[in-house]
Amino acid sequence: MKFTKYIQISTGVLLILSIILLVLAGVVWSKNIYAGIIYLIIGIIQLISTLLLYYQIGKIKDITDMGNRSVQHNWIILSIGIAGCALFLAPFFEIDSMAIPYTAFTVCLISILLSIINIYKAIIEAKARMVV
Amino acid sequence: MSAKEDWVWEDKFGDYSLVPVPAHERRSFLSIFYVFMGVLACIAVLWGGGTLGLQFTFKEVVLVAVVGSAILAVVGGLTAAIGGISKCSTYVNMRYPFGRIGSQLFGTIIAGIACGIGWFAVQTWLFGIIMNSLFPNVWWAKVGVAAIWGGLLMMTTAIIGFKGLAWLSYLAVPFFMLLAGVGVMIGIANAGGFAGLTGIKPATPASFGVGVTQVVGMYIAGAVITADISRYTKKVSDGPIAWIVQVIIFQVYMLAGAAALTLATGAANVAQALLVGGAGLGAILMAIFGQWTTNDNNLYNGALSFSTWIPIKKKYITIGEGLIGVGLAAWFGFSAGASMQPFQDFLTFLGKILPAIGGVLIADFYLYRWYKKEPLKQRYHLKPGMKIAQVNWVGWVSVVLATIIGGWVIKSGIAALNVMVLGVIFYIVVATVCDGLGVKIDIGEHIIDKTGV
Repeated sequence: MKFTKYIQISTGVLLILSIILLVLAGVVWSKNIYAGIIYLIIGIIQLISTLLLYYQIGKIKDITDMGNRSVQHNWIILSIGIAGCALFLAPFFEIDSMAIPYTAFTVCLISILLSIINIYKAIIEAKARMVV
Repeated sequence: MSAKEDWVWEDKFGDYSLVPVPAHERRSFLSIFYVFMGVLACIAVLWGGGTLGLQFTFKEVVLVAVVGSAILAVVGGLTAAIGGISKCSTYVNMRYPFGRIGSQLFGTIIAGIACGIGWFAVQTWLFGIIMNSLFPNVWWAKVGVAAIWGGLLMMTTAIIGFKGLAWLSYLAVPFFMLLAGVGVMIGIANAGGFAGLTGIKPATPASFGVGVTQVVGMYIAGAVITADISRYTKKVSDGPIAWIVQVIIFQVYMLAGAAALTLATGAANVAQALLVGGAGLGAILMAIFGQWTTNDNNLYNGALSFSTWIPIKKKYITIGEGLIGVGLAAWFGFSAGASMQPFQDFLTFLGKILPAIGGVLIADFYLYRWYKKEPLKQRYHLKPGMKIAQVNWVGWVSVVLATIIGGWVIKSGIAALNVMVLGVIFYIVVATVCDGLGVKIDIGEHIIDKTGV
């Protein structure tokens, strides 16, 4: 699959994952407001990063530029994903049902894996720089 | 030096330690911002905030942090612009106001010994202490053992160089900022709401000046050596803007977050307070990455300064000083009950010289060269074959006088700022008077070769 096509699809998947987090934020808000806030912050950061990336890759013609842009945004998604995995199961953000925290944890884990693959592919296939 | 083909240097020692950073290696604003943030994102800043929380109310903490950060923003903004224009490290820039020998001597004292070995060892030891407080009953978290694996971990990114620092900062900074926010949440929850938090009285109240001094003193070293990072900017303005944003917005945010946690829990050990407060794995990651992102910068800056006179690849210097630092930290860690306080006092003493060096650098670049009618973009423009002084005695005298008078004689105001302002005044007054009288401020001569030596 061409890099352009791949990055569009993976960014689309990341976009869906961030929307899932926002939905979960709405669900947990009334149960634990601090959990709601943290889900919301992580979801919004992921959403903005992926939306901006999606918008920018549509405009960029040069594949290396596209790769660099992808690396930049995927670093943020990766870092915030790690924060999510570290925090969603923490006692301070506990809610009565553990299904929601585990779902959020899984969503973040997928976004971590996807962002690592995206960075790797951008460096290998688009000759992007790991540090832009 | 705007294009790749104009670059006439040979980077013999790696990471452009002695030569200007070429155009093709320069980085985006975001990259520079992240590396600056990586220095800020450390446990020490949170402990600083925790200390403020023991002395001030929440509103006072915010005010103290804003004023202290504004001072740091001015100092760091000015030095960052010097790096953005010259594209050289602080220690290469120091050749102009101190001469070649002066840059080697002062650079080695303040960055090589103090940061690269001293503070690296202290922070590595501190890492061991934090890990031990989080996991008191496991062998791998004993102070000495944790100092060894933690120190080696911190060495890895410093050995890689700027790319290593940036890579780690990309990874760690966003989640560190989020975790600082979790500290605020736990603080608010423990205090029974935001109103409860703002109503808490500190345990040992202190004056406003003391608070500002603490904030400035905590990060003044970082503010003076911003050129080490800002030399990598594409645009001159990127470095100062990145520095100012991180210090004005994020330092205030982190100090306030840590202070909130301390006010609410009474504990100044932020990592432990987070763990007790229920941050789980977040507290552990914060402890690991918080030390790592800062300590690799200590090692990096130290190696840069050593490379001005040790003619081997910078990565070998980094390994050498790193191993010395890890050894020291582990030795203190294994000596049961040992305190690094005398060592820290010595480093604090060395740290008093740093603001004076920053002051002299700022005075020479912005004032003396303006007085000499040198165009801004041409200042500190290193070229192969150019002649530099072996010693600029005015720089040496200014640093010594400013450090003694500002650091020990003057008892009021903010010590670090006093030293820096005196450094500016002494240098510009003596240099211009000497100029007017026809007295040479340069002693000896050295010709720069294409490797930057």
